[in-house]
Amino acid sequence: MKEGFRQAMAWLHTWAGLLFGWLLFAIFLTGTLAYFKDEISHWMQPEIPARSVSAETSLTLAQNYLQQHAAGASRWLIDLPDARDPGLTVRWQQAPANPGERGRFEAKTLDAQTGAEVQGRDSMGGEFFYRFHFQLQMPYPWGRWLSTIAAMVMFVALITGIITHKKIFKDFFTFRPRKGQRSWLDGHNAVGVLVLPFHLMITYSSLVIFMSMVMPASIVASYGSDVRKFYDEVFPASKTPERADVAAPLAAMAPLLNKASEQWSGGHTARLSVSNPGDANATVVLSRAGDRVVHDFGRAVTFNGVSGQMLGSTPEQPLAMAVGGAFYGLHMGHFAGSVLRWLYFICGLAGTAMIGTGLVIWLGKRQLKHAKSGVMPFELRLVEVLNIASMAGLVSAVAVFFLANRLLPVALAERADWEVNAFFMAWGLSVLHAMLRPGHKAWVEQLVFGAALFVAVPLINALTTPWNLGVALMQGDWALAGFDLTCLATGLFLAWAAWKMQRAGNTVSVKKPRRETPRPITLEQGV
Amino acid sequence: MLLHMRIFIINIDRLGFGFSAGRFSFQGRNMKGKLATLPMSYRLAVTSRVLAAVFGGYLVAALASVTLTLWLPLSRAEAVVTGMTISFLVYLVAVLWCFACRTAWSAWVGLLVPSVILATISGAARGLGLA
Amino acid sequence: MLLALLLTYAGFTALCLSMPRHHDELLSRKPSTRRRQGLKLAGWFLLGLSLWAAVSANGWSFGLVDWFAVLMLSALALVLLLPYRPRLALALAGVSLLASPVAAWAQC
Repeated sequence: MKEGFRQAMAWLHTWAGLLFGWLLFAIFLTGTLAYFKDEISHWMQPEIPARSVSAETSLTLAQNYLQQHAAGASRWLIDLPDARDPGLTVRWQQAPANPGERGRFEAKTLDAQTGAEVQGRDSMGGEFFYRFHFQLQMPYPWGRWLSTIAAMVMFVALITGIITHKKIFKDFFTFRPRKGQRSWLDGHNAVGVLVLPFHLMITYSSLVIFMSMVMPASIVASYGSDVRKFYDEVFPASKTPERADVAAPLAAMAPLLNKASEQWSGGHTARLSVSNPGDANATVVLSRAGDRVVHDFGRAVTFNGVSGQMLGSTPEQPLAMAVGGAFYGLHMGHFAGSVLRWLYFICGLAGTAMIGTGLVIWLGKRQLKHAKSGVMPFELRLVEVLNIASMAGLVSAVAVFFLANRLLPVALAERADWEVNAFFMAWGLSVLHAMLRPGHKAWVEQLVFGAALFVAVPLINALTTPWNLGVALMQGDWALAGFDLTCLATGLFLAWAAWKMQRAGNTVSVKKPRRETPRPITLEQGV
Repeated sequence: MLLHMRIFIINIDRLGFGFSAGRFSFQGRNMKGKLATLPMSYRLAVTSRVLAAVFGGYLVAALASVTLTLWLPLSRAEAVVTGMTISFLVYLVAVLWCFACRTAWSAWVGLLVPSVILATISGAARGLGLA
Repeated sequence: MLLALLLTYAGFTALCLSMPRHHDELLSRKPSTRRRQGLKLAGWFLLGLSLWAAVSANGWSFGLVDWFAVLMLSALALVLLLPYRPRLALALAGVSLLASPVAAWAQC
């Protein structure tokens, strides 16, 4: 009975892994990059100076700007600069045309010292990777649905992988390189098992983060049609009074920072959310900077916008919300300092590698059968093309995104969109290339191309901007320098991978099957 | 180029997971090096299991979430959050069941029975005025 | 985090050596039952000690996160080193053990 169970789980692991592997690879790679999204944004908009200014100054400048440009908006959002993100970002939301719709958002980055709109190149920066990994460039809310479905499949794949891995303890330290398929499987198991705490955390937390969207039955069962009340109870700070439709000037918000800090025994404000500015019932909600592991969704301080009176400070969040907050905080890793952030990055790469090696193994095993005949059936060829494009192609597209940032004219209209377009065009070209070239050659060519692109990034940076690697090191700008160095290292890694692939293809390695007549086993009992 | 419409056959031995052929060995197959096409009954059974896992599993998970929410002695919001958080574990077990059980029919039965039970328990909560 | 990292690395190496196959690969002889038990005990003890080190440095919430992070990092490092540089892998474990009192003193 146990044999049958393991086999069934192996079958499920194989198929769930294949069908969602390409998408999950993209999600994991972009999500991993998102851990350094602020640093990426800094490199992609080097004009924005990283100056340390007081929070009060920044806030006053932001308020003045919004008063001038967004007086009629229904909501203002102000993100104060912090150590990793020197930008002062303001966003405002127009009231939606129809109730229940989302109002349109506008965003602007301001110079934290002068309050003027930053004259930097228009770019999405690292935010592109962050948003892509859960929105998948699809219209709201379809991307989130798809990525959450992918997360559930990932969860199934992880658990079935654990169940299937018979020698999970015996082979814990086993990695045997230079043994063909065996090495790939050892590698897949190593990055899977050794980094399992991270994989389980990241996968389950991504389900919890969107659980209100994908599993709303409980909300409906408990609150009926009054869904708003649920959100007010989970996020008590978001409960804002309705518009009074009486005009009243918004008081200066800078003094509120100190008041909030007192409530949080010294914690800092990261974001202010102003509802109905210019109205008598305007409220200002101050959210705390993410410096703790367990994110507290409710922990905000609310003030009346006109009088400055404190309306409420939320109590300690209950256990259930704290658990949700822990999942959110762990997933986002806002609290992580530089060392831990690099560890998050390494773990994310391990997850990406786990998926990638799985896809390679899936194809490798079946390719052996067709090595002699030389003709690959359509389905295997499809998998091969998708493997190459979704892995080597995606990596190259990332480099193209960075290169586009440096090569596109600064004054180009819709520049940020064109950087993203370049990313997808490069990815599309990689699919075409993979379709036209034989598998092995396509791999080598795309890896070489990717290597060249990544090595080119710091070079093009030096040629087109004054913020080159040398300058960055001299000024101690570790984010800029780290970015150039990491691109260089990635290029070298891809070159090494291409070289290994080239060598592997030159030696004919046909593993003698253990039995002369291998018996295929399927899920169902034969009828 | 000949385009054969084939279903992939899993060679468990090649996967190297280290277990012998179990009770799921497929009979009546062509062993002469050519891959045999899987019968329609197999494909239907697998499709059935997948549908059961995806939709039936979601139903069981949602019902479990609602049952927990209505019965847990916590405040309304806390109960909802707890129910939703745990629901994915239930979904996982349901999916594993759909592929571990002996036949495709038992996949559906194995989901329907808990669904009915959970629906009853949730209904009882409402009836007792716990909601 | 450094102390926790040193201890987890040493602990994992001990657990690795407690397995006859790896002991044979690394030290060219099979371990006796007593040695196996001793290594297992030492390995788990070091891992537990590293948890204490992480939590005492940064409290429970940050400490647990740090601990899992160094756990995964040291396991990856060990498993990657073993096939390519087995002697370096062992030497690093020795150095970790020697350096840990220093790291402990620096932490407290």
